[in-house]
Amino acid sequence: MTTSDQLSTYLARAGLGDRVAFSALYQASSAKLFGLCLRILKDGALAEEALQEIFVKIWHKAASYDASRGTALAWLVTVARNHAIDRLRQLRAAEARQAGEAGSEVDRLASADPGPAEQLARKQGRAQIELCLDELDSARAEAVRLAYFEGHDYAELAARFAVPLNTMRTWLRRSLLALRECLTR
Amino acid sequence: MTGQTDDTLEDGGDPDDLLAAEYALGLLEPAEARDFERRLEHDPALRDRLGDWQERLAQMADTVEPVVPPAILRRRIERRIFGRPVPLWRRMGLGLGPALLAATVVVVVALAGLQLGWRAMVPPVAPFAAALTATAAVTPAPEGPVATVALDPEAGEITVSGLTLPPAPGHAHELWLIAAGSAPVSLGVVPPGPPVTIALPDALRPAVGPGTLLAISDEPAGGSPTGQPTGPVLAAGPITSS
Repeated sequence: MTTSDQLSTYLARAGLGDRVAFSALYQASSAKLFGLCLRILKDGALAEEALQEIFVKIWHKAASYDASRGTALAWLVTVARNHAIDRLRQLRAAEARQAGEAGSEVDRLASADPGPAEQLARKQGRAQIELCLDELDSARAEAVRLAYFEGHDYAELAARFAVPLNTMRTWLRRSLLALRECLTR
Repeated sequence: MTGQTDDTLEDGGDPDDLLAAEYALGLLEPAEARDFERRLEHDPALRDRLGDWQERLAQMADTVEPVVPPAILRRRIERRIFGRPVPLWRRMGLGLGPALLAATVVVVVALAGLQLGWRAMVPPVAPFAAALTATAAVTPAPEGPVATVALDPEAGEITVSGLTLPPAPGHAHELWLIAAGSAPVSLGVVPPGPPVTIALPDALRPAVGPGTLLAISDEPAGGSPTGQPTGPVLAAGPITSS
């Protein structure tokens, strides 16, 4: 098990051009980041392509990591999530341009339904944030998950939940405040 | 702008905190996101709020099962970043051999001379030392260390010797200490040439020891303007007990 301190050291050293540290960083974090890419992109080939881009970005951006500002893991997860979401949004935009083709690949990609493996994972060893999401109304918790894992904006979320945009905005903000409160408890 | 509507205030939500959360999730409109980024540049409190939200939201990844990626990915990534290694004999075979060899000989001879000179002058009494070797940013790759650093936390002194890489005009070399789990801390600009002794700040004394790394980066004359390395790292090496 890699400790938070070790991960932070690897990242700081990778920022100074240390290839061995980069290798150790990959070893310690690639499974987590690849799992995240698969969750977001829902396709092995897309997730593999995304993971490559993510680690190239990590190498180039590592020098900007500031350990006093947050954990290395959160930094890595942020880089990975944002890249995978940008990719998903690109795919959705390309799909929107070719509108009219029903039952498309991207509809499947954008499906919010967790796969069986993830449902099982959710039942076992639940993360703290998952327990906090459980405290929310289930539709609101789903809106937070959709914003994080599908990168939906307010308009898309409002359409999905068939509520006015301002209502959606209020929902999500209240959910985020409740999450913050629960996580600091 | 968002954040000023009655619904957020009625919730007791701090508009900046909500804005940071929305930015972290990518929920802001492009114009709002650009405004937010402009504010981030000169608002440390806002940066902290964003950092806190990134930390919280990163926990969403804890709800996802890790999956080990195919082994070939790692090789592809390393090839993308570091390039394909070219064997020395092939480079020599391209006709660059004599020049490279001559350059290497010059560097090795210069290095040996400097190191011998230093060893004769300064007895190695410091309890810790680091031999810094060149990174891939230095071509042709020098043989052996490009600088030797002796560290004496008791005396609060660091001596850098045998620095063989001359900085380009308008540039300087800056020495950094990177303790486990910490961002690099500058130890100052180091000139090439004869050994130089620099003061070790008291706060850094506990960090001197095995597990801490020293590095030299290429910076503008006078050193990094940001307090963190801005240019390529030219050499690095771990601190060891001497």
